[in-house]
Amino acid sequence: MKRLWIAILLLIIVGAITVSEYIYVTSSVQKHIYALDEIDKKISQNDREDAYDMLCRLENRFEDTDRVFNAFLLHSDIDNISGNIAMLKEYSKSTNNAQFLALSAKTKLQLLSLSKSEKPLIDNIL
Amino acid sequence: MHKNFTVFSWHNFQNCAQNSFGDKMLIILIRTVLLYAFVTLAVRIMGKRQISDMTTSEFVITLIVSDIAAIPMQNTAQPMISGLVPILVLVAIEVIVSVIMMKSKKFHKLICGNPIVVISNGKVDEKALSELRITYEDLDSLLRQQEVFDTKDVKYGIMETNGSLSILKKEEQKE
Repeated sequence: MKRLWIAILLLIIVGAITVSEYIYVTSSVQKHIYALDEIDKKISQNDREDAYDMLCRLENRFEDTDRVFNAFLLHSDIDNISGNIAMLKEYSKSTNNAQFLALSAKTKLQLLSLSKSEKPLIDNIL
Repeated sequence: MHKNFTVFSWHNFQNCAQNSFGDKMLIILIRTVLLYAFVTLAVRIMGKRQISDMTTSEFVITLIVSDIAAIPMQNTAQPMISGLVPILVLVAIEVIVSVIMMKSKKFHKLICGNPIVVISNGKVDEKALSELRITYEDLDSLLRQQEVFDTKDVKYGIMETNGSLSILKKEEQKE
């Protein structure tokens, strides 16, 4: 019977970890996507200095969440997004808005797919 | 004369190791130790059984746990928790299933099946053998492992749910 209680406790711990991870990843992703939307608006308005500052803050925030993300998600996915944010910082200095917005859209999709892949949907399970 | 040769330096070596394989090998080493400890704990929680005494589901779970543990051991891009969570869940389910099997005969029968009599009063039940998909040669081999060389010496031969053969020898054959 002792093992039964241990098994139930293990299931509870695993459930708590998975639920916490789901909540953390989806809420962090939403914040990052929102930040990118704001940065896109700044770029469209040609306010490059503000956009650059916001990108620096986004990069720092992403680095903070990076550790937790790396503990739960594929490292290559996280590295791709980090790389894109670094590229966005450099693109924000150029006058080519289309290039910036294209990469921003790609980054947002990658972030969204992190969040989507967490959902217990039939197509994710299968 | 100017001699052109490469001087080995510890600094160069460190850079090389860190840029290519060195840091990953260290991560693999640490993960292997942690996963070994974890799998040992998981097997400990599942309980003491020899492989020959395990039920089919226990044996399958043991194989799956070892396979799952190997994935994050080799692939550092995969988070370690992707190995730990399935192992924990499998172990927990296995323990719960074994407790339910202990309490419920119906559930036990559903998971493990029933033992089947394959030899009765020295005669082999061919229908039972074909149901179990074992040949006469397989049966003879199992009998020989029990030091029985003729089916006529066996009163009852029962194929257990874990694939082992239990036999009851005829009175005159017992010593």
